[in-house]
Amino acid sequence: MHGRRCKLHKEVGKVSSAQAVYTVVLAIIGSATLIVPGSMIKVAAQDAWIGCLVAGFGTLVTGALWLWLARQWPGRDLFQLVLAAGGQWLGGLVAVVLLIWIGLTLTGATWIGADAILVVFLPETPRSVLAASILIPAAYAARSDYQVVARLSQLTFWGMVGLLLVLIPLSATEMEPLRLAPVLANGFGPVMKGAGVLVGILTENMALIALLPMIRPPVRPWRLLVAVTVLAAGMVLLLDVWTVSVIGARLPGRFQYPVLLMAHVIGVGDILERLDALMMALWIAGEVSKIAFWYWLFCRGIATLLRLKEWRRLVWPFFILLLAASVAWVESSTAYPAALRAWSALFTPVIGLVVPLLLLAATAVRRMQRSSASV
Amino acid sequence: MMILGLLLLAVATGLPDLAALVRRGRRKEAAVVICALLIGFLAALSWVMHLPVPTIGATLQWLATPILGKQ
Repeated sequence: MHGRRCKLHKEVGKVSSAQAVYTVVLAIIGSATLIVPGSMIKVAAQDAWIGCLVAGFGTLVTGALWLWLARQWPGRDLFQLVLAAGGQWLGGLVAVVLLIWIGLTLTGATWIGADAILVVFLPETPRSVLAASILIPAAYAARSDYQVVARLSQLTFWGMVGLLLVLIPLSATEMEPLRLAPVLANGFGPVMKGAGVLVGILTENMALIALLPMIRPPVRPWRLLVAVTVLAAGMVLLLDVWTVSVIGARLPGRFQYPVLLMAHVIGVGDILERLDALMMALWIAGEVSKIAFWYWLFCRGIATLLRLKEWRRLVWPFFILLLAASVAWVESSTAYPAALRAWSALFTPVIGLVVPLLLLAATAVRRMQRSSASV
Repeated sequence: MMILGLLLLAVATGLPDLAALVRRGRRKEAAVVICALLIGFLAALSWVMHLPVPTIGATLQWLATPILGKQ
């Protein structure tokens, strides 16, 4: 089985390091590419790009803590690692916190995907129908296992990059680089606030741990972490720079999805018009990749925590719960940024710092106890 | 009508896997599936019936008030 080869991934049953990177990058920025630039520019104006650099460096540190932990327990995926490092009680508690965080991440991403379609294209369609139409393919991919999610992410990632490579040069004549000059009118406060928005999302780079045991041939995890963080932060940075240099820093803050607005006004002669529709299609594919990954991890996590022998059988039964949670995330688009800030404030320090440090301490104590017992 | 739709959705998404698990004698997995379906159905019902349940966002904001202050 492991020796068989196929076109898109090198071994059946495993993923390549590049596929792992694309999967985690989309698991981070699937829903962030259209919302986060607007949210960051609203807070930090033209200095938002500095916030991207700060957030990128900050989350490299939090991701490194998780990698350090993974190094202590090689060959284990995320939940196996948590339970092994923390033991029955601490590990179980951390696993429950992770499951809540993953559940909120995937239902929040489903809500924002449904909202973007509702606001921009289909205002009369019920939100629940749009949420279900995103969640169904994600559930199907999640149930088909991580290789399918990885292939979907690989195709979508290059689709998104390709579209940006077309759109950005087309708007080159509208760009004014002077709009990007740092102002720092109110000091570094707004920049740090803007970085905080992005840090909440980039902390998801620790999801790389879940795929590490499946990567063939094995590579140095540090390289993958750097690649994931640089690509994810770089994509948001690129969108921030593009948005501010074309339409300035005042207009994007007034719209929930400023990147779609920009794609709407760009056309290629009279041949390709309304490129926002194409962008939306690719963005929804990115959303599906993101949700599929977190859905897969959610079901695997529940199965590992409860010591179940089958995780695939959990995927569809959890569908109705996740759909209900997706629809009930917030009441309207205007309430979403505040909810996102609250989610980030509650979970980012816990997932990024408290949990890995706690598990590293538990690992060290366990090793000390073992060595003193052997003496 | 909506409640009937929800019931149908719960049955359609949960029953095939539940039946397969019961057939194989996997009781623990079947119990988890039943719990997931029940909680999911109740959550969806509360939304359909417009019960005064706070949204996830409002709950998160309330929990984050000590950190962020009143928003």
